[in-house]
Amino acid sequence: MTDINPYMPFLSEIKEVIKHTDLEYTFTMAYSGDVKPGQFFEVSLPKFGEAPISVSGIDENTVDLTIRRVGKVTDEIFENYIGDTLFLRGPYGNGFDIENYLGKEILLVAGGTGLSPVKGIVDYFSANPTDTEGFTLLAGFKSPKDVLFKSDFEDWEKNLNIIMTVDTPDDGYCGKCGMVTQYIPDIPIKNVGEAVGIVVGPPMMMKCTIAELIKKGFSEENLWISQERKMCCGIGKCGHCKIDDTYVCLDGPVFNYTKGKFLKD
Amino acid sequence: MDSHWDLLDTALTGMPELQVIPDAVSQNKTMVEIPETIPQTVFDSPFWEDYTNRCIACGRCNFVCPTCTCFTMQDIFYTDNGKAGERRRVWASCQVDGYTDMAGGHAFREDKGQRMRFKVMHKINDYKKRFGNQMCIGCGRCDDVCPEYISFSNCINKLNTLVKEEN
Ligand SMILES: Cc1cc2nc3c(=O)[nH]c(=O)nc-3n(C[C@H](O)[C@H](O)[C@H](O)COP(=O)(O)OP(=O)(O)OC[C@H]3O[C@@H](n4cnc5c(N)ncnc54)[C@H](O)[C@@H]3O)c2cc1C
Ligand code: SF4
Ligand code: SF4
Ligand code: FES
Repeated sequence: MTDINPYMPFLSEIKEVIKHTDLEYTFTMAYSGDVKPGQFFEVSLPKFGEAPISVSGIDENTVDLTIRRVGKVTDEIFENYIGDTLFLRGPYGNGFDIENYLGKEILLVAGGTGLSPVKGIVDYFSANPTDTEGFTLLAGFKSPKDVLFKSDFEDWEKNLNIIMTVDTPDDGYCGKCGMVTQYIPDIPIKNVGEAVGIVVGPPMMMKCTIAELIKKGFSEENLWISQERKMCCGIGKCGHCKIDDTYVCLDGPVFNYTKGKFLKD
Repeated sequence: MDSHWDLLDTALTGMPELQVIPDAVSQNKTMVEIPETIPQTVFDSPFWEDYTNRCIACGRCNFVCPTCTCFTMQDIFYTDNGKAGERRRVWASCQVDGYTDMAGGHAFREDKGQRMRFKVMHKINDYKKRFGNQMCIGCGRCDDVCPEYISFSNCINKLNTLVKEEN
């Protein structure tokens, strides 16, 4: 049926639910097939609608979807638990190609839920640390309560350089605070001209981070970003995600900065 | 349904066969000159401010356009049977509020002049760049329907002059 009607979703069972915060859960969904970090699924529930959600983890027979509860569709998704089913269609979008980063020094900067689309990249290099010349994850969250993937961070710390910071600390928090951008100048990079920078987060955070990376000496063709836009189809038909002659759902959401910087809404 | 073709065939037997040449309107008095390339520098030109002031974002120009295809997905269910419903595509307009709204309240092109710019660029530039032909067929429906008397054809011609000045 999906061959005939591209909007026809398939049923997928919830295999596991991880509660990160009150508002953010990871749903591990049954899915086997090719999928890359940075790609997304249209997740839906009849009567409530569809929402594009990035793949935050990939396993042989499952994909992880880390969902923030913000409205009509996502509220209803949170009413479901292990054993229940959600409708999916996808994966859509280009996603990140790990091949582009193999054997390079990598600085990945993620803000808030922006970590989900790039989590697959961190997972990969954490499992294959010899495939990189050095990997730093710089992740920023609003407050200690908003930190996602806490147990993954513990794993990643074994093989990768991890810097986690929060904008506003609360009582008892003893980690780093402040914006991600203030940590960039001090991150040691051996060969900045060749190093790869990956930036995902809210628009303002991306803008400031890119500026900071360029100031540090990163070259534009080694910078990668992932864009978020309103999406109603995921297949280049509805028009909502269009910027100039680019469809974010088809040509993105991942862009090399040399292309991404010319996109003007 | 019985269409009685047989009766028609009988009635027409022996009539001389005429050649029919289909005719269609291919030109009218409104002429536009479309700029070959439009530099991104015109995006921020004060040229669009006129539309910011006049356009009321009603979307009529999009809804009458035979080449506009944007839609939003919508789930509805029936009041008499809550278990039955449909997921359907409803027509969307890039001029109307909410077109780019994302969760968290973030939106792009809040300014109506910039929406006009987006629409014009799509019709006469972006679509052609991606798919190879002009999107607008010059039917003039959008000019006729706009409650603010905003003329798409005038806009194209004025834009053409502006682009020439920029070069
Ligand atoms: C490529 C991509 C990847 C995303 N990945 C994630 C993710 O991994 N985790 C996560 O929590 N969120 C993600 N989002 C955002 C997520 O899609 C929105 O939070 C979700 O659509 C909100 O739907 P809602 O009905 O619950 O919210 P509401 O606020 O009730 O939304 C109202 C309406 O706006 C629409 N809407 C709101 N935001 C968007 C949007 N960005 N795109 C399309 N329609 C929208 C919804 O369809 C809905 O009908 C992603 C968005 C994009 C475009
Ligand atoms: S003139 Fe062009 S833009 Fe206006 S309604 Fe006709 S096809 Fe659409
Ligand atoms: S019909 Fe006129 S006023 Fe209405 S959205 Fe289009 S340009 Fe604006
Ligand atoms: S999401 Fe519909 S065109 Fe990109």
